[in-house]
Amino acid sequence: MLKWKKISAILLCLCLLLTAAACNSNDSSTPSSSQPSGNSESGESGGNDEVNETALPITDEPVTFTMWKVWQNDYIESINDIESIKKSAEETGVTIIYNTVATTAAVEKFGMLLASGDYPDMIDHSETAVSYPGGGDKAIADGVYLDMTSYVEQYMPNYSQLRLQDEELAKMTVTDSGKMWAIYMMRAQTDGALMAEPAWIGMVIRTDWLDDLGLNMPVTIDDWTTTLTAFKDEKGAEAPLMIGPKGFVINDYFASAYGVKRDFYRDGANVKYGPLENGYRQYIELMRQWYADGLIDQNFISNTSEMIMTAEYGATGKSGAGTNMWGLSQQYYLETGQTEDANIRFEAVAGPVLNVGEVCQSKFPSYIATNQISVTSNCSNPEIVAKWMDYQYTVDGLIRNYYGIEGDTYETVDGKPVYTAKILEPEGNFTTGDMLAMNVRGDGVGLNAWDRWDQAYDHEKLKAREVWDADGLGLVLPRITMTDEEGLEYNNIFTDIKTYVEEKTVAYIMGTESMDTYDAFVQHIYDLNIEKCLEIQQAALDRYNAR
Amino acid sequence: MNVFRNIATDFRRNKAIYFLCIPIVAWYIIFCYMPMGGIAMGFQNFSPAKGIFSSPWVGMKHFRDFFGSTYAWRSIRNTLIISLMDLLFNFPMPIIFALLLNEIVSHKFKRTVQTISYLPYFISMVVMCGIIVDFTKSGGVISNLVSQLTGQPAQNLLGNASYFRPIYIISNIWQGVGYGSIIYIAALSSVDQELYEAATIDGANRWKQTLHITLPGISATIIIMLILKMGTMLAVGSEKILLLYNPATYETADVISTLVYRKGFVDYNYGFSTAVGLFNSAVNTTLLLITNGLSRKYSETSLF
Repeated sequence: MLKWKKISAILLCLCLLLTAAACNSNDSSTPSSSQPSGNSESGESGGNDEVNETALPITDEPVTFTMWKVWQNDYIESINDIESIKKSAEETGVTIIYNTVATTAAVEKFGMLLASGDYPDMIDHSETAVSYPGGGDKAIADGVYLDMTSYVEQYMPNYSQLRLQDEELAKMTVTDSGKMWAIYMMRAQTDGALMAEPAWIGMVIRTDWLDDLGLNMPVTIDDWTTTLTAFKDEKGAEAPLMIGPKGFVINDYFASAYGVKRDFYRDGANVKYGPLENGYRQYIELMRQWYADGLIDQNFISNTSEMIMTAEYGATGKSGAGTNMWGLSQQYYLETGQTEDANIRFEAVAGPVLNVGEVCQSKFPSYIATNQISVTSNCSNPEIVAKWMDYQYTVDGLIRNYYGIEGDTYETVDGKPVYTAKILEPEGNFTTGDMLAMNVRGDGVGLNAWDRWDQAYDHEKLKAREVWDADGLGLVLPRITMTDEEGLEYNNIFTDIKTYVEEKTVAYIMGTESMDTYDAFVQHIYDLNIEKCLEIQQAALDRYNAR
Repeated sequence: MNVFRNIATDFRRNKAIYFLCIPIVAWYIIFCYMPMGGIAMGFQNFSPAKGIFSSPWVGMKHFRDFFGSTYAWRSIRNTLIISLMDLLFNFPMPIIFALLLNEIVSHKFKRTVQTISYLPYFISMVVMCGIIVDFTKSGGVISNLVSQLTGQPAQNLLGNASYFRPIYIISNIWQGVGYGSIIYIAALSSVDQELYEAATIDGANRWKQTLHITLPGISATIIIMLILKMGTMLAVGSEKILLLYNPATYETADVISTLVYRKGFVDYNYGFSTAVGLFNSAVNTTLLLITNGLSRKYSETSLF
């Protein structure tokens, strides 16, 4: 251990010396390390005109680090077997051994990991599959995670520059007190330009039915009532609109037309709670009417999922509209053999509004910085880790992580990586997604090239994203965090409120409870101390805005 | 002193048995007694990173939070009601089933019925709940049946709070009756046949025989099973309820374990779940001791 420390210390000194020697006029704030020997690959990209050259290998003496990650795959045993990951280890001199856990066991295993004190060098929170109880500030205060601010300033020029490009992004990547508790994965295009992935989930509607009935895409709530009635009367749909088990559609569409969401939402710089507002009552009355008229699924409380329209609803003609992801729109049910109806076609529809000319303010929020990777206090060499992570934010790092090995999984055509037939037309029963999962690292620290799917998927389906993305975000709260004490108190009060609101909402919609009790319902929410919760949320939002 | 001498003598005579016991005793000490120290988590604001020795002490806060919750008493009430209904309806069923099986003359038929009756027990709970949800939807088999019986239009039975408990209990019975009857069938085979012959000579019919010979014969088993069952009164498992309940049935379906699941699951609130678990265990143990004491007083059988 001591020997390693000595060697890496000497290496770093050498790097520093060479850096000082090679430091030329560069617009960026930190000098780049360019070694005359070794493979030096350019980190230039179209979007960032000041990304510096990050030379490979990052360290001459190979080092190994461990990373905890949520990952599972039906076809290969271990993520460490993936060829492109091994290649990356060779090139950079840094080998990462992934300790993976299955999605279902992630939360438990994470709890055990924290309790054991035996942390790996890095922890990949895998798109918030797990999160440190108490938040980033607490993790640093507890001595579990490292505050990466100094490392980012010294060793991670690419990451630094990327996150400072956008004010919101800069805010999102630190805690309320300004510490960097994690390095954030950033969504980008293959050329390295940062771009949030457009909304990938929203509502779809059967346009073949619309055509048959001579109707246009419904825009206002009144349009929807007419359309759903037509679906029911003329197409025999049992559940013209599919809704989720809590009585809401994804993104709280329809409720957003009345200016509310199902729980906390934003009104300018203020936090509001949906059920307390008048818009919520209007939403409930609408749903109550639709339920009584048979326009929404009579069995909605038994619906297991809010996020996709299962074949049971979509392929059988039971539903004409509901939530779905872009990949499952258009003729997906026909393609997968779940229906014989050759005319079936689901297309994306924008969020409903109350009056013509308004725009729905409640789309699925898409952020640039999503996944978080933290470095733990057990890490023996955060400098090298920082440099390795920084490399992942270059275009070369991106290509290695998402496209794989040149000649094997991709070819360069007109300077752009294009997947080979091995990936796009897989043999056997594999899909493109499967092949990618088996050959490249995919999500993790670094840039995330979500436009890679454009090569593999039907452009008709991808268009759905634009429809959903055209809506606004006015009602959606940003990703605010509460402090530890706040969080515990909030949770204690809010769980009961949530139970109460859910029960009553469902009862009102189904008609088992009369609307006369509605005022008492709202009063009771106040009695349950919703104001404390609002205070806490408001404080968190204020802190976020002040970052 | 006498005790030790007795143990020493016994040990010398039955060394092998004592050695056989060592792994079992060790298992109990390591997995059941040592973790009892974890009860301390119920009184702390437990943070996994800090561990049990450095987490801040909060005293009875978790208990206050639990009982102060609007829904605490409702969940305790629901737990007790569901357990009682389970006891009343689910407990006698395996016994009755075993008695009925006992009456079957044809050996082959008896065996077949027994084997078929075990099968539902092995269906996984998730599959079982999926089946239940499907059958009780507005178009499902069971809801159609119910609507014919009651004359009302078919509705989603799981959306009606008053149907939840019957559905839960009946599906428990269906799944558990075969497997639960095994122990009673075994006990039945130990009843002396000569007693039956003597009773037939005295002129007792089948029913009288069952009442006066069979039931007393297996009463020891019944009482032991009852005492054990009382020890689990407050521990209505959350998995099945989580799969079957929804906001429309919270009124009758929300039990202690599902409340704790919702409250304690986010944020790894181990302290809270431990506190409520401690409360559960305390009540269960009290019930166990009471039942055991009563049974020792009024019959010769008791667990300890």
